[in-house]
Amino acid sequence: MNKLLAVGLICLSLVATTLTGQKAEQLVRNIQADFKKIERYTADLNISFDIPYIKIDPVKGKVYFKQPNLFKVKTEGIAFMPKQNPFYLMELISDPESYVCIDGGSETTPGSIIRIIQLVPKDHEELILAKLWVDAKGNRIQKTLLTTKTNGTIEIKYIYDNNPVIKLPTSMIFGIEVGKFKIPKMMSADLNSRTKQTTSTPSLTQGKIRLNFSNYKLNQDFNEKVFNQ
Amino acid sequence: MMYALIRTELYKIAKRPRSYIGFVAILLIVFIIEFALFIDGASYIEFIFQQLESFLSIEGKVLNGYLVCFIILQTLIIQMPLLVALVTGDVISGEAANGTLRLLLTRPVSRTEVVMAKYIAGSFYVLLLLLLLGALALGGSLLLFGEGDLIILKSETIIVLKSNDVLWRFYAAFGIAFLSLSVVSSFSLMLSCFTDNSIGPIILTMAVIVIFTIIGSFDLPLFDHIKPFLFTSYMIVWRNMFDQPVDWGIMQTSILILILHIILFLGVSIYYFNRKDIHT
Amino acid sequence: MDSGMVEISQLSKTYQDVPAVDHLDLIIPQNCIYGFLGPNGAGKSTTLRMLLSLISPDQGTIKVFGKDLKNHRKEILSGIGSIIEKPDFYLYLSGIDNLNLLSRLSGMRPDPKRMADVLELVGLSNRGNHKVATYSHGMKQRLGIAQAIIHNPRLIILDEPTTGLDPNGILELRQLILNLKLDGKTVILSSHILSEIELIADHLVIMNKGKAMVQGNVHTLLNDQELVVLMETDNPELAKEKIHLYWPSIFIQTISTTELQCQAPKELISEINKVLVESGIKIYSVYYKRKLEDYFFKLTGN
Repeated sequence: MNKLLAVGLICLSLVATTLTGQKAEQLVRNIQADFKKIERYTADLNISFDIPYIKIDPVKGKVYFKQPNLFKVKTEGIAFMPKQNPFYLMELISDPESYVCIDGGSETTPGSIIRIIQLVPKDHEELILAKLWVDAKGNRIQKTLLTTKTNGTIEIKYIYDNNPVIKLPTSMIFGIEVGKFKIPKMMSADLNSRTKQTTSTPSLTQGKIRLNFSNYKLNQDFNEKVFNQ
Repeated sequence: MMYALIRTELYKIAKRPRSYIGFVAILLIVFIIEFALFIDGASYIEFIFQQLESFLSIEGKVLNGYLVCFIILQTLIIQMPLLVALVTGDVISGEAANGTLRLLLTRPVSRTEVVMAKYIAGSFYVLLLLLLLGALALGGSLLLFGEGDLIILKSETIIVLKSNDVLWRFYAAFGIAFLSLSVVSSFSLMLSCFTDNSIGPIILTMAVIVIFTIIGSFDLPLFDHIKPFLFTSYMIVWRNMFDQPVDWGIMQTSILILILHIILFLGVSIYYFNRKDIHT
Repeated sequence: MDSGMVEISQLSKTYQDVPAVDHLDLIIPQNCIYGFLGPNGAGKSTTLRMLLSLISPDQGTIKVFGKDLKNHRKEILSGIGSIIEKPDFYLYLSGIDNLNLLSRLSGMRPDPKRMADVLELVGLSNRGNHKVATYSHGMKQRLGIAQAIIHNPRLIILDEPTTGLDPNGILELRQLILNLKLDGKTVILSSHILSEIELIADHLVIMNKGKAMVQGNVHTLLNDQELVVLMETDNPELAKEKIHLYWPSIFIQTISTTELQCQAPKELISEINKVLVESGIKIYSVYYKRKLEDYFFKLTGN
């Protein structure tokens, strides 16, 4: 009797998982379908930084995108960008056969339900794991946590406005881990400085890079040579 | 008579072959650095940022005229004072050794006027050196490498300054560099008053600057007590013009201390020189 | 003391407890050629350097042109031209450049004609544009004289000005100094060549060990002394006997087998000569040994 009950429960959970996994996968496909409608786009960019050890004012620029994963940021001055390409995710979900989708449950926020979905790539050059927080109502990704082979893990938060036409984010906030770096002493501009350097900050710490997008131009031609520069 | 004295001193500096060593040295150093960075700057930048680039990627034109100029100025921290001392170190002792000091002092000129004229002429020489440096390091670099944001590397911090916020900082830095080198000029002139040996004050000035700079580079607690009293500690304050934001408190204090050093060295020079017996 | 162009009073300078100048009192009259004499270390250079404010005295006063040197230094120096010890110039500049530079510092406006005149006077007209580094010692000496006089000073101090000059140059310099005096200037001449001083100086001081041993008008000083005469004869011993026969008090000494030296008033010398000739002694030459030399050696103990 007990054995029967156990087997029954296991079968029930498998079915439930398969059913909910299918629901998660559908969500991902919906997102991919929406994204696929945008063949290319450009937008104006304003990048602001909150990175330990780095003092830099906001930088203006322009972003260029072309399917499936061509992405280029051109800035008016020096800017620091995450090493990871955020569009690895979109590249991954463009082919449903290239990943396994696992439902990670959900969170409830005022006005929406956030589904947590994990995507395990079967064979991606860089991506090891992608965890998504998806607004099920609007079919929009709220947050991702991407684990890559060579560049570690990066968290990306997405902020949207209420534009029903452009479902692209108005802001992307990259959370990165920054370690203390050493500059060759002779290059250091505080060689022989009388002011002491404070060394109380931990060696590895969190930083943020915020990309604010505006003036989206969807599916309009631009010079693709920009991706080679 | 001051005008005649200053004019005379400038004429002597202009006619002396040694005066041109500084200009040639600056020309060579700047040319070598600019050429090297022009050829191999990209890989040099890559080497410098390799640790940072494990966390972030850097977009934009890092290697530009402003960065090259900054690198050149950093390189010349030691060299410039030595080049100045080479000319200003024997303005009095050299004339004593050559016998021309008595020629000068038997003219109707006061000894105070002689000291001040030599200092002013020396300062003019410093100004010319800096103008050349500015033209080559800043002007030449901008021509070769173009404009861009300036990335300042400190040992544990990076500062990025917008390109439209950089030029005035360089002008101010050159102004402070002029003040710093004037301290060197007045110091070497002071040493020159104490001896009739031509080369001694030059070597002594160079030695003092090198030793003080070495002490300033060591982070030892004992040296931390000494550093505030070393004038070389304030000579590098031109770099603070590239902080964000600029600490105007430190700048004002350092500028004041440099000016006080000039007044002190000149004061001692005038006092001693007025009482010195000329035996050569 | 009467006032003069230069008045030195109780001037002293000591180096490491050794007095280089020891309470010196001196008056240098106007419009004269004043000889400064003394052995090495007598204090001549130190005195002249103090006069030019190159050295500050330990005590005493110096007045020039009636003004105290300490309080009117610039004004006084504008009226003085000098060469002290060897002439040193800016070797990397030409002779003309050096003169222009120095005359400008003396308050003189650039005057090409004056420059040309002075260069001609010292015999450097064709070398003025050459760097001083190419000059011989004699040429530098001439340039030194040029820089001392170019700004038309009232007082000229020349320390060993004939060093390095050839006989022609010495002659020219002598004439120049005499002309300067004729122009109303005062010249202080320090020299080891006593004959030069004796020839042209009006006044002199002989210094020794920081003190003035004697000072005054040259002729007055030297005329008090007897002439020293050197005679070259075929028989000095016989000549000595003959002289002593007539003038037992005259000091005579035989110097060599052919020369004798005697010291006698000027008016007696021709008489002595006559007696010797009439005695059959052959006189080959008679010449006066410089009185100043003897006087100098007597005073300085050399």
